[in-house]
Amino acid sequence: MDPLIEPLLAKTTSRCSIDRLREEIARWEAAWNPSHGGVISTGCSAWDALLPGGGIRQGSLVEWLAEGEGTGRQTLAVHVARQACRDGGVVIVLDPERNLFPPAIFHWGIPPEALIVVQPGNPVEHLWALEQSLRCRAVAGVLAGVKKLDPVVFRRLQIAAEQGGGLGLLFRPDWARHEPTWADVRFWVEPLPGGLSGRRRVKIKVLRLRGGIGGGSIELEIDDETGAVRLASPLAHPTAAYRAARA
Amino acid sequence: MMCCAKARSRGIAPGMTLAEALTLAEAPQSLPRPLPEVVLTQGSPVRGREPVRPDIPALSSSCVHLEPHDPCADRQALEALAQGCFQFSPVVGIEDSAAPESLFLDLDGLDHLFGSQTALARAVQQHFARQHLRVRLAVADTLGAAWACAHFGQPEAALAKIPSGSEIPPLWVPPGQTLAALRPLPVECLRLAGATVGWLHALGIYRVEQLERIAREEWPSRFGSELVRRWDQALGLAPEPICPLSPPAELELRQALDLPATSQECLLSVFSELFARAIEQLRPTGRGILAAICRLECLPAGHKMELSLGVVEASLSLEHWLDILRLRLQRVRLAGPVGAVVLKITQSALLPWRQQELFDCGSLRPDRRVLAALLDRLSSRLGAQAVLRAALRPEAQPEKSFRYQPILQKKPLPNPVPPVCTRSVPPGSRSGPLMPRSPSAVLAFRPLRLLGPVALRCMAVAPDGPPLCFHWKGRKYRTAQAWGPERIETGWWRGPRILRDYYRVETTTGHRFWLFHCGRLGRWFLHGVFE
Repeated sequence: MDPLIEPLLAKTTSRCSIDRLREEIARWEAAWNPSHGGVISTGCSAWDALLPGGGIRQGSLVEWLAEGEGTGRQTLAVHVARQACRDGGVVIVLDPERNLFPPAIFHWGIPPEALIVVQPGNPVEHLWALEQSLRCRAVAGVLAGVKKLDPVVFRRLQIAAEQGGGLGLLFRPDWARHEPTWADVRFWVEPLPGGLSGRRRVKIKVLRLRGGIGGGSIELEIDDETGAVRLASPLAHPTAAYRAARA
Repeated sequence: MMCCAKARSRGIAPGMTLAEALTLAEAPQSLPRPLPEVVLTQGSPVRGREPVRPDIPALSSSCVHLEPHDPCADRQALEALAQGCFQFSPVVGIEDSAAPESLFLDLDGLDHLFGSQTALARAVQQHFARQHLRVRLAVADTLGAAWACAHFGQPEAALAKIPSGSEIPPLWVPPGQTLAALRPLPVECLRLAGATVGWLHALGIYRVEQLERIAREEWPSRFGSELVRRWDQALGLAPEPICPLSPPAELELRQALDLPATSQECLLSVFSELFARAIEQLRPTGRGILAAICRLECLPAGHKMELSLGVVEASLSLEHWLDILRLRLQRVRLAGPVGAVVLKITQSALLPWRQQELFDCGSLRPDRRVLAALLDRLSSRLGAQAVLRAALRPEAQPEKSFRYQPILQKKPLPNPVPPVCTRSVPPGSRSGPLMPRSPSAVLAFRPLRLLGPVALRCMAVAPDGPPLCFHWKGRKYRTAQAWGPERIETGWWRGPRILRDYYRVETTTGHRFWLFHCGRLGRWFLHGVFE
């Protein structure tokens, strides 16, 4: 071969193979399923920036972990579910403990005709109803609290979510953070003291992320009055707000 | 927009704006006329029919009744009335037009069942009077003649004189005198298209007798073949059958088993045969099964078990129904071996007709059928009371401010009414003026989870506020901030009086709870968690 062309050819081939390898790796890592259409934005751009693709992928499971009660994670999940059901589609809430308060869900923007409440009687029915709801294509989001999840069952739920194309928003206890997961995203929600009357602050940390690097965290402010979730302003010091509220 | 003759007499015409129509309707006029009446004509074979207008605004001197025009609902209402007429005649049909208003009944050979035709007509009128409908009955030899007499047989002035409570006397056309009966009627009675009628009016032909004077050979060239066809149908020279509706399907299929069955698979296979037979019977009618009852007759002492199955949308899919039945059977414990099974179709409805889309974009558009199938499966396995819809109620007490309704229940929930606050004090002011707050402001500060009020054991209570610390679910929470009080009180008419001062509490760790102090008991309770 021509001595001038040979090194050029060698360079281009190696570059092509590197690019090709990169693409393949990205495809394997991201496990992108193009048939399900895009991502669902969380409504807050800073939060979207934590997630690959700018939002939560449709047809995936999302875990919300927190310690204790009254943390605000279910409010955030309802907020995300409202974004998901914008195109039509229903939101199903599994409520085995029968302590759901639907007026609060309506206040957060999910219309009454789009909400279906299912009250299973025992854990077996609970998991069965969860899988059936995830598999249905007309369901935009399912909210359910799950304590112990067998890996096989978890994988089945993930496959059901991919088939159905909706979001599975699962509330897990805090000890689940060390367990393996089939969910796309695992959030840790921690409430922060020092909020104002209608506004509470929470810190969201991404524990695990499929197709990306976890570990990012932001502080969000949940506005109860307007039903909005936005990035907390770093300028307002918690102590100052506390003093202002007490005054 | 449609309006009745009464409205038209006041000057209201379709296409007018609502405000104009209301103004014209409320202008003082002579006494309003009730719904159109019934005209019967006698003869054999007789055909009676009654035009019923289920969707007419009732103009009275005091109010105007407005309804959104829904042709599908009109047609369904008319079909429901037609179903009720099967007790009078086995052949009942609906008028074939864009906005049907009349029902046709074939009374051939039925006189002896009711005594006489007069008695039959009377029975029909009473049947409709029980439903608060006045009908115009006309009995004649042919469909066309009966239609003509019922619509135009009696002059409007005579109808106006009949008081609203009593029935309109039927009109009878004696057999063989159809043409004589039709002569004085206007040309519209022949069921012609608007253009043809306009053309006839332009030539000065307003009555059928005037039309008769023109030679029949000239009609097709002048007015079209439709006039010839309608004339022949009215006089009985051309056939015009009634398109009968099928009688309501009350299917009951029974199957006795040779060997008593105990296993579910055996029962399922027997029911699958019964369902297949029922589906084959319903398929030509275009109706689907909406609700069914499966009865299992267990052998010891004729013990019977009934399983009622229901779906959200009528369906003729065998797999779907067997799926629901299988999920239902799993929850049932049989009292003994089953000797016979009975399948009874209690409700059937028109199958929802959907057009297939040519291009499936692949985007996730919600599919009602798929959702209905999911809800059916969930209701079947978990129970009808486990799959619910929620609606708001105008109640101040939080646990009563909403209610659930099973999805399978047909009656839709009313529109959510914004909650009414009874004596809610805005948070922050201890005892300010009692102002009603806007509904969204009320809902803003409600927790996502509402527990049955949990009594708290508190050691220290701040003088003007919630407890400083409380225990719940094995954890101790210290109050850092609190907002309130919000007083929720119910009136004496509601029963035991509720007097609660609610506080939204944020702990030192940032968790938020909803506590209240009960005025009657003097104790603190935890009512909700702001999850």
